[in-house]
Amino acid sequence: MDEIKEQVVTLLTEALQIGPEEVTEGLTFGDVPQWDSLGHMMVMAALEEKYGAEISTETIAELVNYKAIYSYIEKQSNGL
Amino acid sequence: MDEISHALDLGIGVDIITIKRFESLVPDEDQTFLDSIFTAQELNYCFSKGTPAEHLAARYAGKEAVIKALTSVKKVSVNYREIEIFNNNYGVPEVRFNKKGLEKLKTYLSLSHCEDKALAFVIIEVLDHE
Repeated sequence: MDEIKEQVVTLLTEALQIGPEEVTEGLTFGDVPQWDSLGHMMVMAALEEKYGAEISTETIAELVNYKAIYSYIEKQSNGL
Repeated sequence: MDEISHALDLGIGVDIITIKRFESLVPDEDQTFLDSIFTAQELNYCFSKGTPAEHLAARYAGKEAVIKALTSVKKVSVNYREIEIFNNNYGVPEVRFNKKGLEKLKTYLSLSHCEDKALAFVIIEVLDHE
């Protein structure tokens, strides 16, 4: 598992309280009951804590699936 | 029905949430999450209560219901902190928007909870009919 994928899995399993087997690359907001609007804010808070940057309302609305979160973490890791 | 709805310019929103999801939240430890949803005044109010979770849950449901009602009357993007729920002098919950451009909206809010769920119902009336 690549490092960013590992971070995404850790983030989503901890924030949503789901098992790692539930985190697939196709996972999207609403696919599991825990990833509802409240769960989404828990994911966003976890992201903010990890990278120390406030996430805008617009970005919160965009980070609604595994791939978008993967890309966000990848950019943050590269200092973009 | 559409004509009546348009003439009155009303939006409605409802939300229900499980109180248990707020029970483990602790100020400081969960501050980033709490601050992303609630204003300082809301947090002070909720954590001054013996059972903060039900108050947090009710306010969260209220904000969700407001967003749904807003979406139905105006295409406007608001975040949770731009919606503040407070109790008026009679203990009745009211909504205040911390965002410009929403001054011409009249919001009616009702909150309720039972042992495990909190619920909110909102009606928004647009006062500046075009």
